[in-house]
Amino acid sequence: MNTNTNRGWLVAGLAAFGLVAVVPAADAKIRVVATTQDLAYFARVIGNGEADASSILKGFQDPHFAAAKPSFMVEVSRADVLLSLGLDLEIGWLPLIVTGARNPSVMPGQAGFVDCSQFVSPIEVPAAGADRSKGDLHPKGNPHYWLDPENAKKLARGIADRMTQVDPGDAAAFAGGLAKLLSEIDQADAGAKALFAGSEIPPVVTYHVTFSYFFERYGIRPAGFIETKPGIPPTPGHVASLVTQLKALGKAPAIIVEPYYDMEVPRELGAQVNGRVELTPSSIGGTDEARTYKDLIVTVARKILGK
Amino acid sequence: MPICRTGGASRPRPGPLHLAILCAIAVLPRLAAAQDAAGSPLGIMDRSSGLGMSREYNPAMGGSLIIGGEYLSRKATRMSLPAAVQQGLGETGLHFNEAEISVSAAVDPYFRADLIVAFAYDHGAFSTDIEEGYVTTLFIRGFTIRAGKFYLPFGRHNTLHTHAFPFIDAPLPLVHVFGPEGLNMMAVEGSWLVPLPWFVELTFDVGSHDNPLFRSPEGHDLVYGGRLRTLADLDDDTTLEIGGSYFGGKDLAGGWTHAYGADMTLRWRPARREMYHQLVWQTEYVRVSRQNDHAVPQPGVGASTDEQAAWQALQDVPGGSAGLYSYLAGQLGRRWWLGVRYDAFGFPWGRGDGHHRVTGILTFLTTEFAALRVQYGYLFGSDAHQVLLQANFVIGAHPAHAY
Repeated sequence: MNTNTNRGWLVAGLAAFGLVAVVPAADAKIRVVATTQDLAYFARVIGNGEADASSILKGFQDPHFAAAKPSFMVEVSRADVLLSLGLDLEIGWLPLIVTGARNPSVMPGQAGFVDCSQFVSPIEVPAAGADRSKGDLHPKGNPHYWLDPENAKKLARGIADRMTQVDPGDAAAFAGGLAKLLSEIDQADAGAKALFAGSEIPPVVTYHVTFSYFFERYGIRPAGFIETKPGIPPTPGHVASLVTQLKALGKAPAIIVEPYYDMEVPRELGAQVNGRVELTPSSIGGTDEARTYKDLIVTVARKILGK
Repeated sequence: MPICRTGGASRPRPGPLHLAILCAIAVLPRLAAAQDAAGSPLGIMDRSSGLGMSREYNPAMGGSLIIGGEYLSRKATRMSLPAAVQQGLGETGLHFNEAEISVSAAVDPYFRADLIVAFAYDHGAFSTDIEEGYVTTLFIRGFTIRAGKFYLPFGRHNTLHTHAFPFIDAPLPLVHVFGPEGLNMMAVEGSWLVPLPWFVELTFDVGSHDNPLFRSPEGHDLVYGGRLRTLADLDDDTTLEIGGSYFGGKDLAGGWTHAYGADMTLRWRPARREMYHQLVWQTEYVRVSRQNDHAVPQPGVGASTDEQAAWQALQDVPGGSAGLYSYLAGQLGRRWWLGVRYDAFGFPWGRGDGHHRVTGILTFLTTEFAALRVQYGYLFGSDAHQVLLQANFVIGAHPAHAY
């Protein structure tokens, strides 16, 4: 073998072990890894064919209770942008994945790390600070903000800005993708409003405080929660008082349950108050009906109304 | 109040409202002047910390508290148990097992620092120890360097803190080989996420000789080793992790001691129900070999406890001895876990120092921050029964647990 061949083998060997960075092609797509399927969907639509977007969690997984699976570190190690919901929703697993990925481009403080909560104004911020005697509260506010279409639009613009900052060469494609996404979000909002208009909204019970932003947007006041406090599983005493409270309303409630909760207690409650129990997506991919953002918002409205 | 006295007999007597208005007219300009001079009256609009005592950069703090009780049969003959078995067992009674305080923060954009201080109390004796204290790099692509005092990555169990143990006590073979504190020492570590489509992590460590197994008579000798860890997703719910570990260094006899480990963890965690169900099967094997097994005189009365522990390790862990543990733990519901474990050391059998044990544990969690556990163990070699109770609490900011 001549010297050039030897050098070629050396470079190939080093590259195989990651010691030499392999320079991506100029037209390579930006790689976006998102913690949830909603954020990945936003990045994919904004990417407009110029971004590879994937999510760590599936829409039917509980973002509070995910595990820091090392295979997620491999995914994040190759990311140009990491989208997280923030407000400590992913605090139980994301920090380990970020440090384990050993990717300086997506470390907090870098352009590639996006805490999407910065684009919205959180609600339900505990006035007296966090205290675990009140349950598993999020000290900076309720993190389920993507379920309000107005927030979704802010989120879309923020994500598009950051993707453009990281990959300015595809700015035009991202602008086009953003316009499509904003239009879809408007349709989602219009779809939900059309469903609620002229319909009588039943009392709504949810398992967790997942739908607070959705309720606020459409003027729904929750009739109760199956959890005793945020993150604390129900007790027989709590369910009994919920039954009394719901019966006093005199109307059959809609009991909407996120896909990752056990259905036993909701069904028991439903049987006692003649309520309608609905498995309801809280994220894109949460159920088969919720494949797009518009589907997600409209499906939540339908589940509440029983349509 | 002189500023409110208006006086003058010819004027009409002021009513209460009139008096209040006059007072306000007199006082407000003075208050305003005070604000002009010193900013807001209470300093609430200030944007600097003034004396540099801002709390904004305080590290995240957390703590854990472990209390419990223990019943051990054959108390009268406890001293007849091998030293390594005694290390793994407590005494019948109530115990304040451990309290930990942890603080963590980013130092700057390049480093993160973690400090865990442990407090223990045993029969009136109070002790404190820096369990871990290290800095980790954040800026090298694909690579992490860690320096400080920490649990070295030998297998799965050695890196766990007491509150995260899957059973109340540590497996016998690890206590037997590395002592009750595990393989924990001042070290420098480099770990590499190998750029492959699946997870492969290669870790190298160079440590001080601060463990009874590697207590070199020469102060400058070091301990070398590392771990190869790989994990495959068998499907969305199931992972298989396989690891191999090695650490070696000079022992008290001046020869090399090598510790080899192999581990396997199969974990099933259904994505739709991960807060309710989980099944973990974990097995770890450890073997020690020595370059020479020549006798070392027992340290005299004045010798340090470290030296005595090193001499004891030479007696208890002869070259060629090995052990393993294997456990199966299942989450039955949101708040209940059940587990069973077999652990043994002293392979190959028949050398007279072998012991093996079976253990069952039931855990009730109020939340992920509080656990009540009861455990039963039977030690075959010594015909000893052991019942342990534990209450385990975590407060404050608590770092995420490794998968």
